[in-house]
Amino acid sequence: MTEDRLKQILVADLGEACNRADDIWAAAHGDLRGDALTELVAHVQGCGACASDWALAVEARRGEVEKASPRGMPKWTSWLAPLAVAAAALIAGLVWVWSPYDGADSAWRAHSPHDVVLLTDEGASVSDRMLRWEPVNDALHYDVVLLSEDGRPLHRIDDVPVSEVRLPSELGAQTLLWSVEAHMKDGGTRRSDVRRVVVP
Amino acid sequence: MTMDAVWAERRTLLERAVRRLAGARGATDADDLVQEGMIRLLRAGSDVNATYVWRTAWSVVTDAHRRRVRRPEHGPDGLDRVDSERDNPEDRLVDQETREALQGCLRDAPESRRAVLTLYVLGHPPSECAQMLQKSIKSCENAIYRGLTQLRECLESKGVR
Repeated sequence: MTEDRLKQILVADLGEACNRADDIWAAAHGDLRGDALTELVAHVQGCGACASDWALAVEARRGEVEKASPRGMPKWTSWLAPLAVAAAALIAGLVWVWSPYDGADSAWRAHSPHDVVLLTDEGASVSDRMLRWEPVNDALHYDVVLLSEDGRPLHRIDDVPVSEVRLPSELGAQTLLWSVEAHMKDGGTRRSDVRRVVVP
Repeated sequence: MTMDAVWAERRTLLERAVRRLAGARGATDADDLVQEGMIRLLRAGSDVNATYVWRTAWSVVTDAHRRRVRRPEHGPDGLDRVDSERDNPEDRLVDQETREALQGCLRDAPESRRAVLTLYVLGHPPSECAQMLQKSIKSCENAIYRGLTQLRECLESKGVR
């Protein structure tokens, strides 16, 4: 049996419902140690969803490191590596002391389902310049973000109290991408998917 | 650097990250995932570095995977979902019985080998396993070598190939 086959068995997502995204990202990046790491490793041995996320986080880390250390670097710079690692460790230590890891950081939260339902259809033309979505129970307010079709940020409209918003007048005729985030009474957030809309 | 240039740079990095990770998951909707990632970066504000972009890419790819795996058992047409709808074809080669066999074999492995073996199979090389578990590289290499041999024998004895 190959190592690839072993990995395949371990990371096969058989439909487990699990959300340990913050811990998994931290662990795969070497930021989780001791009992917390041991407990998480024991958990992923039986949870394909988490094992699968972890394996992908390792791949992300590899991609990030490859970009950060381009090939072809002259050998004479190799002595800088230990210094850089030491400096990074020092900085990381200081950052950790001043801002301890907060597993509840919602900006990092993965697995948030798309549970804000957009009512303006994909690719619809909005002659009244209004974007609409279904009200979410227990939502305090909504944030709406608008991007150009090529992904350039154009505008964000924060703290919208109702489930619709008028497009800013400065946005001319164009195709936009838009998405809504609901801020809930319990402090959590819920998101919509991303849709195209045509401003005539 | 103008804000447009900053965002163009972020988008380029996000695209590369999403394509790499979506490819590893067998997902084919990378363009949609890039858009979703850009929205998340915009929400995060101006304090975005390369690590944040990679994490955002990881997050949108894992979320999308989860949505596909957890679709209702009955489709909108009222028909039962079939197993072939799992987005990663490799997942179809593993069933609950195989998973339980692996769990049993890991349980049987000595405790000192279990964690290092799991980390290795997840993709961490021995040097990283050593750092994470605060052991020597040599002891991790030994644990991996012996652990893999034992795991293979155990699984094969349970009929898992």
